[in-house]
Amino acid sequence: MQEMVRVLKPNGIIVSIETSATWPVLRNTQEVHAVLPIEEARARAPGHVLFVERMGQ
Amino acid sequence: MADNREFARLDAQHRAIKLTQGEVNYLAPLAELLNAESDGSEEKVLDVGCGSGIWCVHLFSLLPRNAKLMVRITEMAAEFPKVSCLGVDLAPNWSGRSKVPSNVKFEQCNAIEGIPYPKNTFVVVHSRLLVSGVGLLLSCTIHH
Repeated sequence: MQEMVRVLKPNGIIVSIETSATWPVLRNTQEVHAVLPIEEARARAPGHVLFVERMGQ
Repeated sequence: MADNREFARLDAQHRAIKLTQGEVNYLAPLAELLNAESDGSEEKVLDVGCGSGIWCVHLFSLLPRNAKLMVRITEMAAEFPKVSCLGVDLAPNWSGRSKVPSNVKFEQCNAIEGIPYPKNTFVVVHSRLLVSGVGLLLSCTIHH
């Protein structure tokens, strides 16, 4: 995760599909504001946004 | 080292995920971001743990596998004409693919040890089901 953030441009997006078991971990990272609408996520974390794509949605 | 059987499984997994997403390769606002960020220089997308590389190839390929896919991929190629995609994986995976578009390339690296590119290089970083295969990623995120 740190490497992904390091190589990401400011205002870039990390897109990830992970299993539901991963969600508690993802929620604990500083970069994750993912389950929010993208505009709200950007407002909260200008810089890095992790957009988690949940299968089936 | 992954073999052809594993690549076939990963390709099938990709198709299954794509099916659940309504036959699209992504749900995030990538088009909005890539188009907005375009300043004439080549934009870059990184796929970490790219496996067989099918996401990169499907997303940016000019050589679709079938007619049904052709419209969508042609649209994608037209949508991202200046975008390049890099797929990295612990195992080399690109040798088995004969039709890799010119704006897609693959490199072998251990992303946990480091991605061999400077900071602020990529507009989009993509990964799928990486945690299940990379245990260290969990500790990295918990302690970040």
